[in-house]
Amino acid sequence: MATNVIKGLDQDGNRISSMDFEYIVREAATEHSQLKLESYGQHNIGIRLQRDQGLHLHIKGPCGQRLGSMGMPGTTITCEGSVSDDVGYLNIGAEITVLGDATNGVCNAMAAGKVFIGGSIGARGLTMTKWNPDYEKPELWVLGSTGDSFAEFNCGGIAVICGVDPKNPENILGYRPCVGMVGGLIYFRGREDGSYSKTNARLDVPTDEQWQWLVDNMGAYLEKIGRRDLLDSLTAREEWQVLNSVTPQERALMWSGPMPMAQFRDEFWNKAFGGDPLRDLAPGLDRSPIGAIVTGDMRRRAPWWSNNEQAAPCTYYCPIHIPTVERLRLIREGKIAEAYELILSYTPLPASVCGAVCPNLCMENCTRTGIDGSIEMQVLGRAVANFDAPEEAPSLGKKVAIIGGGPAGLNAAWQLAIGGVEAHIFERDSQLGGKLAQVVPWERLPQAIWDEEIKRFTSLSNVHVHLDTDMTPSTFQRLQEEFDYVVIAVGTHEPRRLTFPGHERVIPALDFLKEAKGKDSMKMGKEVVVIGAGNVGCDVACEAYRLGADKVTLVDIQKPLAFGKEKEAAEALGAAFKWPVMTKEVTPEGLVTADGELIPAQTVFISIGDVPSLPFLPDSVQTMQVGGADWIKTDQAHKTSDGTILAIGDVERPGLATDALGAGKNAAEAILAEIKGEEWQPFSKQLVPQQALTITHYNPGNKGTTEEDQASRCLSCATCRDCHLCETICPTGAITRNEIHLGAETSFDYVSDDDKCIGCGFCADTCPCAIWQMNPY
Amino acid sequence: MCTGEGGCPPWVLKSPYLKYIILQIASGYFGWDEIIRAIPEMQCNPAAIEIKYGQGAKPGDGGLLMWYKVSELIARLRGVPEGVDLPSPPVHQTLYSIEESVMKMIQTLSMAFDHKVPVYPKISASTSAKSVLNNLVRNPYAGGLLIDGIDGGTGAAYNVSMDATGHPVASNVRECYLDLAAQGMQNEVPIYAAGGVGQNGNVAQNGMALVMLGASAVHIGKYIMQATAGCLGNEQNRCNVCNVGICPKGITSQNIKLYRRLDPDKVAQRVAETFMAIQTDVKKIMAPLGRSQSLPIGMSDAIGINDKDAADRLQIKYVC
Repeated sequence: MATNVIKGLDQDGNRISSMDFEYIVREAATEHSQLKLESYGQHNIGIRLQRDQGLHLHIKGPCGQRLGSMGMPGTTITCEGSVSDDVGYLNIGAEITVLGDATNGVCNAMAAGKVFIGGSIGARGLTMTKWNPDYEKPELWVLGSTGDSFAEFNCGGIAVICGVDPKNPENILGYRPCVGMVGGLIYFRGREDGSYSKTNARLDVPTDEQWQWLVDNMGAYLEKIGRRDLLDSLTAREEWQVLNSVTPQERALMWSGPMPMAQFRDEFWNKAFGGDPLRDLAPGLDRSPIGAIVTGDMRRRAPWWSNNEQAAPCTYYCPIHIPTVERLRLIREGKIAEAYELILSYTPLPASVCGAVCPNLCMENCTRTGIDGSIEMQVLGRAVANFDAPEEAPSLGKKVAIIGGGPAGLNAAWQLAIGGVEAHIFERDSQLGGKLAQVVPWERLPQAIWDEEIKRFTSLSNVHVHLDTDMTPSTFQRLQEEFDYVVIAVGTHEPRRLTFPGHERVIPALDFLKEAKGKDSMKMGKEVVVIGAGNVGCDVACEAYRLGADKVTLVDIQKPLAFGKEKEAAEALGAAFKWPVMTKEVTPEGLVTADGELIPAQTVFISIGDVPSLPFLPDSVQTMQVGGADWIKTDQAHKTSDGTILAIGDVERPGLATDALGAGKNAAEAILAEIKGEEWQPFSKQLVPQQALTITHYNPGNKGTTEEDQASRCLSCATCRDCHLCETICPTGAITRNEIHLGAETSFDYVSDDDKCIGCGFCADTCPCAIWQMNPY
Repeated sequence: MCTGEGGCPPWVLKSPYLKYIILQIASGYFGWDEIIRAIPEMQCNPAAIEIKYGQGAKPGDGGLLMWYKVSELIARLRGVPEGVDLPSPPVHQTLYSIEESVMKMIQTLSMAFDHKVPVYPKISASTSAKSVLNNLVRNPYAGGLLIDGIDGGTGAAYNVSMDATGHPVASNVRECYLDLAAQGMQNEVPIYAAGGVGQNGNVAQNGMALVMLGASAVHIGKYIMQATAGCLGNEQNRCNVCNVGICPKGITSQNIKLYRRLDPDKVAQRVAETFMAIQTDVKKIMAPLGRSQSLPIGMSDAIGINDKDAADRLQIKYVC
């Protein structure tokens, strides 16, 4: 095949443009397989040229940029001198030989083919070199050295840098080679400055396989650049090193992260301060980190098993503070007798009062109301009617006089008698019981129960009853002399009256109720008006209906205070409530209001309360005037200003029968404590907060009719029901239940282990009875 | 890193690390006796001195450290007795005017470090920021002005102060920068922006937007507490128990059961990581501007907003 010579200058000696030159070369290549180019600085020589039988370009003369760019397989290019930038740019298979040096960008973005340089190269050689695994790897052979930033982002190119007459003998690879290199291999011979990217390239000696490749190909390279003479000196294995590319997997293992902060603190930070910088500002201050979940002393709150430390609402609101929860526990445990003994140690009249007349504040405040209704206290009260009195304690050799045998006096005497003190009741009436016996209709307090309880009361040997005893100053003085203490429990038996015209026509409720109780008939108008619409007024209305009235109207100056069973009973019989009504006068026709309206009535009652009658009271006892009447002043232990005289019940202030029973018990306990030289402790438990109880554990059900039903329904507020929920729910297993054996008694407690407890409060949240409390710690 | 006015351990003051620390002097002057005592032994200068006049979250209000948080360590850091209330008054008690105070304090503190340390005041973003700035333009010792916007954090403030007072930092910084530019003094008195930078988690974006509006630097406080110490306060649901001493993360508590929950090594680790991340983000934001090193301060053609009124107000590009 003929060789065609193409000149870079035209006939006039002018340089042919790169575009025209390329066109001429391309034309010539269609006819000739060998072209001799006498170039004159043209760019992109050899771009995308290919011939089926192969093509060889021989370049003589100045060569422009990008020699052999997009070089095709089968094409070979030889340049006699040095070349400008980007030799082999985007080369995909051409074999390019440069006998001189090459400037920057040799093999930039080359994907296949070979570039042989007979001198050195400039910066950024072998950058962005690719390797498509379907083809051979691209190769760059350099006899001398490379410039800076060699093999940046090299992705598969193989470079051989022989280090012969390098530009800088101290560093033949330039500054910072291999940045971002992810593939390929660099053979080199000579020194480098260690600035290669350590996360991309790994310095090593050639493996046998790598060495064999080098030796196998070195001869051909030297042949190309005409330096066959160097073969021996360039095949001394010990002079060669390689930079292998680091795989991503290797790189991941190389990156262990920065220095641990604790190490930095010790080796740098604290060292600059000569130690802990806070050592003298806060010596001994513990600053070691703790977790958010901690045990022991680091907890901010800790659980406490506060069994029986607070009062259930039934106990708290009961004026006698009867521990119903404890009683129901005894019933649950089958200790019926003990349950009854327990209740009788609080009141002599459980059946009559708890079971009948009491408005049952215990039930009103019962926690079970939030589920399906309160515990049925009346069932519990009535159950005790026929149980025997408790045993009396050995005599303390003291005597107490109690004036008045109403509920206050009865309980004072009952407690004193059981406690071993001789209790003498002086009652003006011919029967015991005060208003309970005299006034409360038998419908509300069945006589059989009452009689039974009075019988049990009088069965105590320390109880001595003196009926029909009027109290005068001289009698009182005698009692003071004969007895160690005198307890005034005379109640209120003086009806309060008003002085409007016709007031003499009006019958006091107290007188009427006393007279009516137990009678079958009495003189009674068909139309009746009751002035004062409280619960006593309702009792009057009921009795009036029973004794023949057709229509009863209760009037009041304010919204009626009547409530509960009394009000329901009166309303059921048809009683009408009217308010506000001011009474102007009472005439034979009826009651005339301040507005002039006549409420027809043949009988008019007044029920605006009763006041104490205290003609016997010595001067040593101070009283207090409220509402036009004198009431006895007492302290918490019911002592009056005279230390041996106590006062209990309505003479202190009007209240429920249960209030009177509670006062009687407290006074008796205070006396007993004083006799024994002890300090009397009044009831002082706090009410367990409703929100601390977890009632969601319970399902609504039937209320039941037996004591056992009530016992099983009780939520046991503030007293552990031993349900094991806390033990079960504790996430760290900190809570254990302990059996405690004290003699024959077996009890239990639950304990939280400080070393396991994390203070999460699950125990307190789940406890149905509010026993577990979370306290600041 | 700015100390706040809580003082600085003397060993740190005398260490080479002081060069990374901005010492703050505020109306309580806490810790300054120890700082002055350490001056002869300092190995290097502090990074800067910040004079706190106002806090963007509660303009016109000062801080209060409750007595029960003044433990032995805190007391000795602040140079005060233990267990006393430590109020920082809303104003510097000796000032007759802001001009007089700024002049006095800047000159004193600048001289204390041989005029080699930048001294700049921190004020709440407000309409009077420009007055303070123009005062500084005529002060040869002024090292800049820090403007603190409404969205900054505070450990103790009245709700009304936090909710109803203050000024957003962006327009305030922009106004001040344009004012400087009109005088040809831009970058002569650098403006630092603070207050809510990074409050949506976009710390680099917020910061670079403020830089493009004219800030030479931004300060982050609340963000770094959230990002590194686990502070639970955010704009949606403020935890806000810092002042009560029951910080669940132990950041603002002196209770041993709480402050020990904070692991300083872990926080330091996250601080380092956060700043590395900010650096990467900032590079990525600067790259399209053709910059790799110098901040685009006041480069308003680099920032746009899809609100015409806001664009006009800030004199930046309206884009949509």
